[in-house]
Amino acid sequence: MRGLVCAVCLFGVVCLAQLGATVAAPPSTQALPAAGGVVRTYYIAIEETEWDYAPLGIDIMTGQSFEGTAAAYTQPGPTSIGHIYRKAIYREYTDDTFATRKPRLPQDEYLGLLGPTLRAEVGDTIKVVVKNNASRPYSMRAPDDVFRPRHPARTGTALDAEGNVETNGEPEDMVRPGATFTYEWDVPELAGPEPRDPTSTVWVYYSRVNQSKDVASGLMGAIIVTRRGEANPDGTPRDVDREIVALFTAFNENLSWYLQENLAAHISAADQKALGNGSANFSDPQGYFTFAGTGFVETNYKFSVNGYLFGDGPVMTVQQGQRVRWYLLGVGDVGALNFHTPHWHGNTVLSHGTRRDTIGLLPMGTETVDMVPDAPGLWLFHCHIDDHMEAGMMARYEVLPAPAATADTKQPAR
Amino acid sequence: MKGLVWAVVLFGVGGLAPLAPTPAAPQAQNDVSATGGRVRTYYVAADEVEWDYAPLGMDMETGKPFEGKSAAYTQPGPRQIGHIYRKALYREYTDGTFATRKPRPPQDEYLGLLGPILRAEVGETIKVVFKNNASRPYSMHPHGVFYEKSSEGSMYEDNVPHEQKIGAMVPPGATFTYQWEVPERAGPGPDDPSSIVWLYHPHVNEYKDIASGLVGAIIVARRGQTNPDGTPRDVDREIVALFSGFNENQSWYVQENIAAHISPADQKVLDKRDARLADPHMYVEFTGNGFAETNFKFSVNGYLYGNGPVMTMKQGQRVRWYLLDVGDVVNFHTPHWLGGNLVTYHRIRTDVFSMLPAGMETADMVPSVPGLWILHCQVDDHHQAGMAVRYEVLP
Repeated sequence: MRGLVCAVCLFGVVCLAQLGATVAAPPSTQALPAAGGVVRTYYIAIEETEWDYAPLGIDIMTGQSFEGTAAAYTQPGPTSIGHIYRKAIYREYTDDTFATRKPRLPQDEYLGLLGPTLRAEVGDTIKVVVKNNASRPYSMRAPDDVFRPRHPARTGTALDAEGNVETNGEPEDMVRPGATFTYEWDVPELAGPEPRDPTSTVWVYYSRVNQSKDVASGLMGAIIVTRRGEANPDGTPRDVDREIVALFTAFNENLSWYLQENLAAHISAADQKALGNGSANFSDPQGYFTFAGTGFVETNYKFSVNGYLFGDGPVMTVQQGQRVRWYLLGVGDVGALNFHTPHWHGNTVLSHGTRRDTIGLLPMGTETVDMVPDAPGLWLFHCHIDDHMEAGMMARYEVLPAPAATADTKQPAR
Repeated sequence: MKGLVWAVVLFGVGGLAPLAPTPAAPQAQNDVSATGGRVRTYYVAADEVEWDYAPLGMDMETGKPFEGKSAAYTQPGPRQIGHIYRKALYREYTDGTFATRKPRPPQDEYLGLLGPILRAEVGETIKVVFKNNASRPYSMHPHGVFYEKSSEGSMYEDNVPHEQKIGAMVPPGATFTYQWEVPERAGPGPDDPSSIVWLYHPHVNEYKDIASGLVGAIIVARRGQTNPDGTPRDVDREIVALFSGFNENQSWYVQENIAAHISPADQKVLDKRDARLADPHMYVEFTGNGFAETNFKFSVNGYLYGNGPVMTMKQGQRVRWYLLDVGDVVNFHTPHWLGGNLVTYHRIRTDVFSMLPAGMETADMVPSVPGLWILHCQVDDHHQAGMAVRYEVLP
């Protein structure tokens, strides 16, 4: 905590010192104790919720209600669950009483199903108090080949074939329903940006009692790590004005812990009897072959961005001329064909010195790219794999016009 | 340069142009708008044609007639359409009357079903007069370049009144002019070579439009580094290669293609989603001989089994390859050059690439090994299904 206060003070001084160049603070790497940074503490509950993949009820490609393939992927029917699924998600609270949800800022609402974004500067420690409010055991895991857990972290394969925890092999960092566990990770250089990366980089945290089922059920979020000495007091990188996290994944609801409940809730008893749980037909409404098929299995692949289909999530907002950093996450199993190619309409990004408007993501792959948007407007942001797009994998981002020059002068210089 | 002919319109500063033949004017340094920049105008139509995926009629890799697997993918039959499919293609015309098609120079014939290459140097503007000669609405949506909403070529909920978005869905018979600016951010990044490639394609229904054949390339070169025709100065020869398994099951013309190539009797018993995923011995294989599978045309520039015109280049030339990939989820491709001619890609030397749909990559080669060689997708089932072309290094 003292480190944080210290950093705040120093940062304030640097800002005040803008008039006199000679006051030049020591290199910012020395603003933090060499031995380490601050401890950043989060309170996160694991909760079960009825998640709505399509809250607007319209396909933004048409501006109309869902039809054809889009209807198969969003509307309940004899062989489809629809747009509402019971899921488990990470949600942030204000303190360890877990009485008050920490409200998400309006500009962060687009994060949707993702858990809170955890942040650190290299040298910091991330501490997460996790309370499991769900009905089954879960955990929270950061990639342990880069982050250094301080908590007991023996996780892995302590499950039987049905996914039940074996009594003799319970992972020590598993949190039983109703229990609380404190995770603590040191953030070494290895977890930070590489020399040729931008000033920050992104990782995925997720539940790993049974990784593929836990992730399919919805439990994941982002960890953003900023290079040592390059962060604001809140951990955000200093050379960036706006950050957006976008998760491109097909949640495989066939693997969700809640599949049976979802079936029971949204498909009639009569239809359930006739339903083949393994039925994939790989055909479009006209009967032609497509990978965006309309059978039970396929429509349970929710090809979503931050958990929203067909652009039904809150718009990601940025400003013309801002330095915008995009963190792209690709998560999920190969069975659901989880490689994705996010494509921005309207603007381009720089990725490792190369110009792109489309980025390839493989499962568990992440990419960090920078954009300085110059084209104002409400733009499409979608997976360019055509059948994924057909199944709804799209979002919208809006580039608001740059504020007038007069407004600019009122803002403190950065 | 006479290789390509453009209608060049000088914009705003027409009078100054004769005085300033050299590119990069000093003030251009930090100017990302195209104001005052050159405008390159193209006349492009969407035409419906009978496309032949295998015009040479034989497997050019084996030198033999099509048989077995290659026959299933190219020959009409009870449950196969064969090698000729109705498709929609972008094609270039000489002017706004759209009366005369602009002939492709022999060295560019290999481009096959790709639309014309649209070029610009950073600071310029690309203007495309687009005529929809097809039977259904299409558009041109460009990657990379700057456009206003009216020239985006995409229809979706973006708070723009539909009457301002004619270009998003150009009706049959109609003409629309797209204006695309080419600021710095549409050109090569600091670690890119002197030119990069972008796709253009329709965006009415992306899955079906692209499956139907409409796709082309935009090449943008760094400011001050081009010849008058827009080609990069540090390159002798450019090749564009599109790796795509066109999913003819999702083409707008699938019904017409069934009607034209499968007999009425066979049509009655046709299972449209017949995907066998089995070889003749019934072992699992991704390239079966069912209707659904043989409608995946794993092609390079729209050619199967090396049936396209040979891509030619000279030994020692500085050859730039622009690799493209579009389509659905099976379209992960690994273009691989045989012959020991390596490419350099972001300081790495290789002879094989990894591509995902909407992949756009640029790599340089100085071919050292003369001969007629194969460029193919090294994903084995794609190769088996015909994803190969030939390139020749002339001594």
